[in-house]
Amino acid sequence: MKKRNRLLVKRTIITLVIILIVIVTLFPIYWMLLTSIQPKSELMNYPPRFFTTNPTGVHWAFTLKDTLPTFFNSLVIAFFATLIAIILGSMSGYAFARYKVGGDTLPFWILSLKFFPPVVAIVPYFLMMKTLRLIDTRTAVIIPHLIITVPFAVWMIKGFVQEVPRELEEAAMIDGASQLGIIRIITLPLIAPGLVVTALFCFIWSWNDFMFALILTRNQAITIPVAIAGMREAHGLMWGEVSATASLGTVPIIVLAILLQRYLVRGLSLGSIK
Amino acid sequence: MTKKRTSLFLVIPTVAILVLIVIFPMFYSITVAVQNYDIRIPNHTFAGLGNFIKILTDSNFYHAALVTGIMLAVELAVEFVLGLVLAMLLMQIPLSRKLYQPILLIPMMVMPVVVGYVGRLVFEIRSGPINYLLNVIGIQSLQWHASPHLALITVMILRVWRWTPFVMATLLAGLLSLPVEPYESVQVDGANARQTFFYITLPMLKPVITLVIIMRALEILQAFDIIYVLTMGGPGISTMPLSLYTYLKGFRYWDIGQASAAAWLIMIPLSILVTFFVKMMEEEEVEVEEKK
Repeated sequence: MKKRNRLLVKRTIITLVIILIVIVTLFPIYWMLLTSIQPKSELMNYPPRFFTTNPTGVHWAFTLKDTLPTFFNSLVIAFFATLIAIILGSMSGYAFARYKVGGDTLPFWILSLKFFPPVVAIVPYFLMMKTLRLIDTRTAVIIPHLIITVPFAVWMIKGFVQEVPRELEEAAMIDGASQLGIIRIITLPLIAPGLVVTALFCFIWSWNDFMFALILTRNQAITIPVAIAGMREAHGLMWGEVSATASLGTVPIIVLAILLQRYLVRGLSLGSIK
Repeated sequence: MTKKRTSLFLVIPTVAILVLIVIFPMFYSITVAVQNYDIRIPNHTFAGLGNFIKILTDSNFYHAALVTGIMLAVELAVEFVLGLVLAMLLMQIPLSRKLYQPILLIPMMVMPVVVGYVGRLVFEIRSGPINYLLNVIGIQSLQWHASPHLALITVMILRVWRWTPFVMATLLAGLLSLPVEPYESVQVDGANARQTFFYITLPMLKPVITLVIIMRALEILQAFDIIYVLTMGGPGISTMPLSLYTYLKGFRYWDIGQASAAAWLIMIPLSILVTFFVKMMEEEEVEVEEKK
């Protein structure tokens, strides 16, 4: 009985500590959302208000009107950076898992590219896109994003294919299906959940990227992060408007991530801890 | 189609594209680094190692390296300890873990630019909530990111907030995948909690710890977004790490040649870490194959 009580006390203390950490974790996001719906008269007053009784939609209205093209740019760029990565990743990820093309060297070379530092790439990309007259186009941002998304997709999909039992493919082979047919009919449907997770990670990476978009866009093709960084410079005191834009860029990703949190760790650690 | 031809058909597009978008720009970057590159004119004079020498004799470069070094040491230590403690705490409450874990992971999904902006909001000097709470408990308002002494600490607080969840989640996954047998046998031997932790848990967790630390170090060496929004390297150059130094050289002072040279200098520690990382992944792959 005494032992059970001690366990109960221990768990209560741990739970309290965790709740405290949860508050610290959520507070900045709460504060951003709060700022985005507070009327101007309540912003930047002392003492600050920790909640609001008369929320307003003016900042969100401003954001939806003003940053909609930016939002669309982010969507298009992230969509193509993801789609191309998934197509190439499915093809070569399969080949690496099943045929051992290029032995170990080639897949590990591709893995190492996942960590290629954007800071090294920004100068050559800026000069190349300038020569090609692609500065301030969505294409100019999609291409360098592939440096990160393609190796990531190859590596993740390789891992997922390795988990599909060979016997399933062999059975289809006996039934006379071609090799590419097997990939399409047997393997890809089996790893579909893995493809979804991989796609989401590529999407989030591209969506959140700042450095490439900052250097390769001017005003037509800017993405949400670039817009947020620019708003800060242009209008120092537009706390409500910037908060609404920042929320618009963040909340969809958080929702997606919570829906997929079961797979999160695998994606983050490149499948190194299963 | 033969097996060989199928596999080549599947792999060649990826390899070709990666060579085009990675290898070609890298070589291009080297050629830029050895020129006196002036963006306004079409032809540039050869500089040899001049750009590298200019960077290596610039005291701001060493200051940036120091800032990056401080961030590496402090963030790795703080994030690792906090992440491990949180992971161990979550291990103790198996039932409610599923409720808390997804909430604790939220910061790492927040766009880094937004983290920087939120930092401006909560650390706002005159009426921000953090200074207000400090005032409530009788402490004077701090200058946070506007203070040369506190700015780097403010940056690191935000970065720890953003990245500790990653460390926690990865270590927790590692803890959950540990075998139970060693724990059962030391329990029979009567080991206490501390001994179990230092002699069983930590050694078994070592591969995961190494991976986490390398992945974090790779990110810290490239820290950019949060600082760009929060301080732009200031006040003065007190929060300017290597990547921001490189960016400003190239895209504010338009010295493209020196920026390339600086980028290649950052590449050195990064490639060492990546080599380590790939080696570890290779070893793990071999182990998995052997188990099969």
